[in-house]
Amino acid sequence: MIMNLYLGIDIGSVSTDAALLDSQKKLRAYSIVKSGFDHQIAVKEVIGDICRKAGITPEQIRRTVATGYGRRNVSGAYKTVTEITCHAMGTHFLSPDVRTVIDIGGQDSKVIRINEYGYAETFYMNDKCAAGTGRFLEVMAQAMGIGIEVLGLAALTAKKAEPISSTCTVFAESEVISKIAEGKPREAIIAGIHQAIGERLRGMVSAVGMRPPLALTGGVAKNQCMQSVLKNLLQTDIFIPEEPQIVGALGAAIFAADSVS
Amino acid sequence: MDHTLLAKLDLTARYHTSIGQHYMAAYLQNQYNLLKNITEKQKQYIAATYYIPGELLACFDVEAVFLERFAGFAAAWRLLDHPVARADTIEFPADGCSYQALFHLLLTEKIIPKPAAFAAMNFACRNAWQYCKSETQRHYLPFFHVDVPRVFSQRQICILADELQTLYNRLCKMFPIKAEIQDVVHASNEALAVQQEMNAYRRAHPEKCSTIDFLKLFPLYNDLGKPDTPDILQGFLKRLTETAAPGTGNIPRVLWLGIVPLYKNSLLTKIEKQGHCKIVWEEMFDFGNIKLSCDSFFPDLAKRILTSRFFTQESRLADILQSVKDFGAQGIIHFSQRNCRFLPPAVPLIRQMAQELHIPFLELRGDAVDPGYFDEQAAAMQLEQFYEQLHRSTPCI
Ligand code: SF4
Repeated sequence: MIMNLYLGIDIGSVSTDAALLDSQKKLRAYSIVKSGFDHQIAVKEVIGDICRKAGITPEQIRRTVATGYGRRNVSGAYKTVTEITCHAMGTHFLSPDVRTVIDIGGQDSKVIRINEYGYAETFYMNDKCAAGTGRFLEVMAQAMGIGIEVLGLAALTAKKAEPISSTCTVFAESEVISKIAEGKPREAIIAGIHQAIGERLRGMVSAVGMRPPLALTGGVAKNQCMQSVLKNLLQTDIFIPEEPQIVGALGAAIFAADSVS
Repeated sequence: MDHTLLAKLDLTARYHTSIGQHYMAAYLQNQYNLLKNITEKQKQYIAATYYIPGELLACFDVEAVFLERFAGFAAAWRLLDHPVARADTIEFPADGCSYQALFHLLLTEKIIPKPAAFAAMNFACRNAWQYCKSETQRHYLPFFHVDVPRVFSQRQICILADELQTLYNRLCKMFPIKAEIQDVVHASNEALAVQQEMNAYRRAHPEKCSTIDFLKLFPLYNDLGKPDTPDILQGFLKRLTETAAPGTGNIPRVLWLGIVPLYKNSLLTKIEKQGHCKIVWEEMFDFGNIKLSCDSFFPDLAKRILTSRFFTQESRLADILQSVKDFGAQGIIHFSQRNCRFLPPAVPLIRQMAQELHIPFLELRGDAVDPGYFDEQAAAMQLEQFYEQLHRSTPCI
């Protein structure tokens, strides 16, 4: 039997995320899986997982909206919506006062100014270069020989940040390697990497014009060092959702629910 | 000498003749003749930057090659791969503009010969000016430079007029006179009158005009003062009024600001198709409305530069706002050229203006000359977001 359940699926370059809402727009379950090469497999996996968590079958979902760069791979989706719109709506749902969202994704990052209805007013996206994205952190973690999950924690122990002057991933990587060779403290280098990303994001925020309150979303939002660097640089408190990685999927689920009402 | 550019110009001119776009064919044919003159006939030429008045150079028996136009041709036909990276290997500054990088490559790859002199202005940008200066130093060539004042006033018009007169006098010493000032003035005013008629037509029938055609022909600004420019413009106008596409109905109207990626001519058409919108206006095909007079030739040329819509950010913004209102535009797209400090710095203000007008704004960043710096995927993503906003927005103008 079809239930009043609404699914949002966000297919990003690194992960495929899903959020399931009930008719009261309460979050029933969420799931995060790797995107891999075949998005259709990721979609199947994420739907299977979320259904298992919610104790339902896929047939019971009333409507699905897809977002993210692989959104066209969700067969059976009622419609597709861009990720900027979904991030804006998802953030608005979680914290209606937020007016600026910084979303740090795997391959790109965006700054979105949102209005009081949760719609994107204007946005700025980094293009071509990985600086200011999760990819940048990943490459740097590899260069440092440290897991990406613990990168933020390691940086928090630094007494001072070792400046990384280049924001280009390729140049920054060799800069990091030469700093390691010079014997600079590891935590200081990692803190410097976060600082470099923060500076880049600050530039993007000022390009759209900062309007507080701010929210930080995307996988990198979980990184505590990134949170504190941005708070310092932007001189403001930042709202971090409990699960910042599913905000886009949540926004898509809201559009699915709204499309019925 | 490499004849690829010559062959491309010839072929494209003939193609335009075959499809009945005789004005475009004539424009390209002129450039073909120019190139033939400087390559095969080894006629001397001056390499000039965009704002050096075409009328001034048209007085002399010397060819004038405008850097940006020739770089534009080379980019449109993808004559040289990866121009920025290639120019980098021959010590072209990394933060330089790709227009000059490509022109520089045309010289070093011997696609065009070395000029007899460079003429440059520090408006619109210092990049082109600096490039010309360093080239003249490197090759011991004459450098004619014009300093453009930073503010507009009667006094500044006089100062700039003096600079232009000095340039004229210096050119007199180097090249024979080919045309009298009065003939040049006449041709320029005639061209300007047609250009204004065209802009009036597209203001009245924006949905019928193809904006990309105007972007293709804005370099005609450099041909003001040449005897056949009015005819080329007349041909363009005739074609516009006779064969204009049927109206597109009630779809959102969009303004295009800045230049356009030259290797991607189809971009605007694609945007119109995918975004179910009509790009109704661009800002480059605007040569100002200063008529020249023989008595005040130099002050008039000076005034035209200092009253250009691009001369200050304020004047550009005022024009954009007016265009949004006139056309009932529901969205704005700005193409920002990499490393350019001329038009892109106004983007934050345009974005703010768009926000106040509650219309979506998109800044597409890239390089007009080097496709390697245009992120197709990011652009597609941003455009989709723009379309979504465009069809949702209700402007409050
Ligand atoms: S694009 Fe910008 S930097 Fe390049 S020549 Fe034109 S004004 Fe100068």
